[in-house]
Amino acid sequence: MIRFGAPLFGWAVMLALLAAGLLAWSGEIDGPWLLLAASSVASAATGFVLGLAGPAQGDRRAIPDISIAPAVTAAGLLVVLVAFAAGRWLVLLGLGVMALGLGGTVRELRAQRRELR
Amino acid sequence: MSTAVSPAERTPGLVLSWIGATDHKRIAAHMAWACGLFLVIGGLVALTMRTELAQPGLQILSRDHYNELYSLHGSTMIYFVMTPAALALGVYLVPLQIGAADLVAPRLNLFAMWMLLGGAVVAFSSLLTASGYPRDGWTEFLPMSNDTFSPGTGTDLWLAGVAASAISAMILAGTILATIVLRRAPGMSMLRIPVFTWTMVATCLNVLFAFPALLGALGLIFVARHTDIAVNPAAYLNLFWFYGHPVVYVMFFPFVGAALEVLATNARRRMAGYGPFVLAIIGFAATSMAVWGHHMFTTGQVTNQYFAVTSIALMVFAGVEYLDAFLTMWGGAIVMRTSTLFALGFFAQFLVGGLTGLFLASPTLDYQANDTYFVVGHFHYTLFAGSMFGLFAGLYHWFPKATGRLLDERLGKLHFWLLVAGTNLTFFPFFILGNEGMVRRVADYPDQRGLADWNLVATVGSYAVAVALLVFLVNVVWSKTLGTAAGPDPWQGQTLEWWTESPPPRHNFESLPPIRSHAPLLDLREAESA
Repeated sequence: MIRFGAPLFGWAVMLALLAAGLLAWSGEIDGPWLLLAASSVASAATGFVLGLAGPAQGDRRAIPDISIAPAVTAAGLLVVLVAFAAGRWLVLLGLGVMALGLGGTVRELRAQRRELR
Repeated sequence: MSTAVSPAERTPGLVLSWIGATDHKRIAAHMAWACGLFLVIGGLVALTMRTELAQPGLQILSRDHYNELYSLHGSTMIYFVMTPAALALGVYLVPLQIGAADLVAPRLNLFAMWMLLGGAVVAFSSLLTASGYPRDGWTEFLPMSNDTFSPGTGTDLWLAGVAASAISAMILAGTILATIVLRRAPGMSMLRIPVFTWTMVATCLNVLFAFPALLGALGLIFVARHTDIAVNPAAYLNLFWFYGHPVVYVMFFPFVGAALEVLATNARRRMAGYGPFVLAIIGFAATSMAVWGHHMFTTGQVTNQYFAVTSIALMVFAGVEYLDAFLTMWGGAIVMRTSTLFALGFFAQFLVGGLTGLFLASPTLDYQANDTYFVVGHFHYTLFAGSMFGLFAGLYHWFPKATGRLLDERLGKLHFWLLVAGTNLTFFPFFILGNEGMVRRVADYPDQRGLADWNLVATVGSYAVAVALLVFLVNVVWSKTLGTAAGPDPWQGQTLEWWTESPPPRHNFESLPPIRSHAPLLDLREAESA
């Protein structure tokens, strides 16, 4: 696990040192050093997740060359974001379109799993 | 909703394949075309601003329209051109350089591409609203961007568009980094991945751990505009610049990698100092996360000494990269292709941006230069006269791999020299203007202290830049259809992408050579000649 997450763990240590330096220099407990510290923790957590994932090369040929579902999901999320400017009622429409896109992705993933069997 | 999984059974139409291609190479190509289109928009806006500034007084724009245009120019270039272009280069090249069939999570990458394109459309759509495009620059500082000073839906649409671009960048960075960590070919350890791929590791780390702060900052603007909660402007500044400085390196690291690969290939030598380079690029990326306070020296809200020290420390890491570039060329048989010229231009002109950055990293000097054209000159030397040259070095180098055709060298050299003349004519006067006290983000300036003369020079230079970019566009269109066939390895490349066909097949490789260093094809040639 450490092997695959190593770059992230190294990065997390560097950010932690920089955060400690800023804390020591500024002396502000609730100061901006917290941004660096939070990034350090997030980096270590990402390294942990990558480590758990481990190497993978096998599933490449089952991925479809064309998939419309991601574009539909993105359109749905964009409608949700635009809703904050153009009217909150669009949130429901956006979530509906997103659900359609995610449903398509699930359908593709199931087909992909069948192909690999 | 979705197609069946047997790809051989169908031939998708052009529109369908544009919308839904999951191949990392197609996604990168679509992003590149989109970035090119946005570059034209951002460039035309810049030309309009430079035309207005050619003489004192207001000629073609009102102050209000000028404010909209500089915000449109900055936002377009940062959020929708240079950041996505840097990531698109990684999306295309990383799997090819590490011997992988594709990026991990191809659908997620496709989703990210559409978030970027859709985000740009949403941000541009604020031009169509009654309130128009936001007028507070790409930074949208509070309180200027709150609902009192920036009423209307224009700023809200900008927020939505920029949030979409940030989400897109984080997803792409996550999949590129996961691909590098999890999908390397057998034999390719982390200390054998090519230089460009290492720069993408640094880039992705910066994106993943700095860009969430941008989403936080955008959230603060939203809160300030739509609730009664009082937002502390200093909190916004800290969050925004926690993203806003690392993003400069997101728009720099991949082009350092591209320029170094170009120099090593065209000097026909193994890159010098690979180990120190790896340490330097990771140290560079980490330290770049801890320098954001130098954008706030004059606010009195940050620990100036700490941020001055970390900002100046960046020169150590940059120095290692420059030394590596110099030692790689030393004693090499350098072929002066267009890509070599652009790589050398990148290192030379970025140096001007870097050295003028030293002035701004000193709090004492920054109090003098803050908010003047000196700052504008500094960041245009880093991002345009620097990074854009690195991008062109990469484009001339890898265009044959992506299309199977060589770009025309004569047009390429014309493009290079026009761009050198144009960028220096445009951006060097900015230092003089700043030193004379001309403030940034103004539609007009007093007719004194030679300000008009230097502004006219800068405007002439900006038209030379436009002509240079037109020459490049002609070269791309001409060469893509009528250019000389490239073959798999036109440059005697050193890394795995030159092992496969040009353009590469859907899953990149049918076979892989043994991998014993970061330059496996050079290893093969050396073994054959030994």
